Amino acid sequence: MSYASDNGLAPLEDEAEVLLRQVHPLQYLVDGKLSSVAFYPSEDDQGVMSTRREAIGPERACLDWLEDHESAGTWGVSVGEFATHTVETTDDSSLPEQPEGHASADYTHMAEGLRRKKGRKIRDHAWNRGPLYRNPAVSTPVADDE
Amino acid sequence: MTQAPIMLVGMVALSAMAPVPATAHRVTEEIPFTQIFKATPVPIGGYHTVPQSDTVFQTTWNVAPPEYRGSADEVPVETGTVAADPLEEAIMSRLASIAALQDGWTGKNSKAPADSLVTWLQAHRDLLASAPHTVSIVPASSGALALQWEDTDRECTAELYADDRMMLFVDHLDSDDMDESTTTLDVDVLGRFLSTSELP
Repeated sequence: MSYASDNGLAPLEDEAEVLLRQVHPLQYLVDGKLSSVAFYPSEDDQGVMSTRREAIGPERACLDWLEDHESAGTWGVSVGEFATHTVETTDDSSLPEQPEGHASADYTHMAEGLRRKKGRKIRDHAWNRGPLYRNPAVSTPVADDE
Repeated sequence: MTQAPIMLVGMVALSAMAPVPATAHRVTEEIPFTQIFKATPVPIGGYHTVPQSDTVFQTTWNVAPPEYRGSADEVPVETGTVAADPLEEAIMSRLASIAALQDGWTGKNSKAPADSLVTWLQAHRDLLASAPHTVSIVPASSGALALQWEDTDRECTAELYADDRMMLFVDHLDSDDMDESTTTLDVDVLGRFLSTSELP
């Protein structure tokens, strides 16, 4: 069982598609890198992490999010990179209250410790890819290797 | 922030100046301290929007130092500026930003960290300031406060929860190993973890 099958949805299959994730300004580390905390869900998220699909575009994804939240910018992780860490991704924009092009990354089958381990590795993918869009209104520390 | 450490710093700075004659004593208990907050935010230790705070110190002599040749009614007054602990200020600034979060801050189910948790960490900020590694304070969508640092080949996380719980993780970066431990929120246990990066 998975989040996709529980909801009658199909997993994303294009491994090259880069899903878009917003990172809150307070989820940067002191050295300017990203915290792994921004890349795994809590129990209150029902074990899935929100992203937007690549077609939305990193700037629009950020601007949409800024209507009700804060974001320092858009970071990306591909469907294939999620899959490498056994995290299935699903377009669930057909579900109630989800915006256009919403996709969820499924950590529901993992214990707490494993979620954090996978979250750190997925953070590393996002970090290595670099920011896809920076919110010009937010200043965050700049890492040495950025 | 207590003023005792600042007094000591001021005294150390002064002691590097003119030698103190045996008959002269600094009247340290009468030193007035004033916090001056400059308007321009500066980055300190990677944190932004931190006001830089300096401490102005002033000291007088109850007996004029021997090199002084002026009036006995006008013994010299020494003044100077000593920086307050910028790291503790950065920690307090970061916690103030976290305290301003509201439920839903990072999604509809996300929780803001409880005020009691932020207050607890404010009271123990010296643990973070004195840790051998640079410790980041990161809010999680669960309402936890995550303390994170890297130690050679490990990424360490202490997640603090308002229900008196603490989850500790050591992620070995070059393997699939992940060590974890759950304890009660305990300042001594947290202090040891911050110091050693080893689980209890």
